[in-house]
Amino acid sequence: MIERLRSYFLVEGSPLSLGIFRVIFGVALVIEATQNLKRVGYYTPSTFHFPYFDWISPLSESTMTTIFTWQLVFAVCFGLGFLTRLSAAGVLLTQGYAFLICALNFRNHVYLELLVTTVLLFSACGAAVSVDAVIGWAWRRWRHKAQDNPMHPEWVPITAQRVIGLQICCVYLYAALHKATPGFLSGYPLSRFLPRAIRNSTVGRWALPPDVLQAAADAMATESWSALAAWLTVGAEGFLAVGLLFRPTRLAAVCVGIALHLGIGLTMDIVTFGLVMTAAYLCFWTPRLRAQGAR
Amino acid sequence: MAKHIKLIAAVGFVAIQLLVPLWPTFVHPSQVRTDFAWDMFATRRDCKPCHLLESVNGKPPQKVGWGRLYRSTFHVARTRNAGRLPKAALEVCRRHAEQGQTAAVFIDCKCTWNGEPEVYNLDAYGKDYCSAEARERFGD
Repeated sequence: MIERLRSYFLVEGSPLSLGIFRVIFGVALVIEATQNLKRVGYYTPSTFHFPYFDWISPLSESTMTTIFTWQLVFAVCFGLGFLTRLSAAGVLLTQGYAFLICALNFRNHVYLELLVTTVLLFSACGAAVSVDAVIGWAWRRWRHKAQDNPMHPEWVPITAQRVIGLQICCVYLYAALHKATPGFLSGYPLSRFLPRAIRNSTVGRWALPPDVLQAAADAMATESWSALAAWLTVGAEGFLAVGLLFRPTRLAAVCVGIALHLGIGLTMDIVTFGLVMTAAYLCFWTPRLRAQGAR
Repeated sequence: MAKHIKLIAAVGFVAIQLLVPLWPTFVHPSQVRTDFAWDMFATRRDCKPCHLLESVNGKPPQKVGWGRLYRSTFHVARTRNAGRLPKAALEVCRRHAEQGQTAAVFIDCKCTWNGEPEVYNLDAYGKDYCSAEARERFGD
């Protein structure tokens, strides 16, 4: 058992997958920081809070604006891979503090972003597709006149990549399990919130003609269509939880996942969550592998 | 040694992530919102009515506008559970006390889950939340 865990987690591979994921994840963090700046009031004493810990208190509007501005700076740096580890710590501290101020502000994608940032903080995600990698390459070239000087290392530990992949599967697993109830599968919950969400969806209105959007909203108001959507959702999420893990089913799972999140984005305006989840499929891309420390 | 620590950290992280979302299984959804559970949109609650009622200086009870506590309807919706409503009621009491007013605050909130017929009363206390007994029971 230990040996199997060791051979799964303690491996080395290309830094490219995690590097590309970091860039896309950085975009999601920038979106989040920008939205926080628009919602500063949610984190100040002007509204009643349920802090996760008593020692966490809401701060003044100007302080929260400063915190979120720094979060934006850290998120941009992290996406670019500039001072990668420091900027990951900065994102974690600024968004983490805001997250703990009030349980009423809990949103799943923010929680997911915090978990993923924590993992990335201890990873080699800045080793490729990053300003840090370019600076390191230029430094080696200038200082050591290095001829054989690749832009990024060929092998890095990819434990973090494995953990993020499993984290994503865990999200899908519980999303499916919590929905696999008679109440949800009856279609009632979806029939109540989907029609309004579809009509108000900014992404949907931008991407689809109004009559198509209206027809979709009307269909989802009926429990037969919403029950079908509920069953499809649970089926897709359940399949993703398992399908992403195994090579033979991975491509199909990626297609299902992209379709699922595209649908959610179009109908419910939930973009950041889908962006992080689908980008994390890259963590299952391991073009080459070897045991850590092997030469 | 470093490899052992890395392995323990990775396995521990995944194990925690597998365990944490189980917690709503042990708590009725009327008690608290199911944060950290990845149960996105799994439950639909319909609450009619759901508000706080206040009687200030002996006047007849009136609804407390949620805008007095919150700036977002999102926050109002997330307050609608049996764990958080008493805290909100206590906050209204505290604000009246600060202004030197005598107030009684009650909760009137009945909800259904996923369209099921059973109606849950989210006011398990059923009495004035400005009382010393309520402060002791629901205060921090």
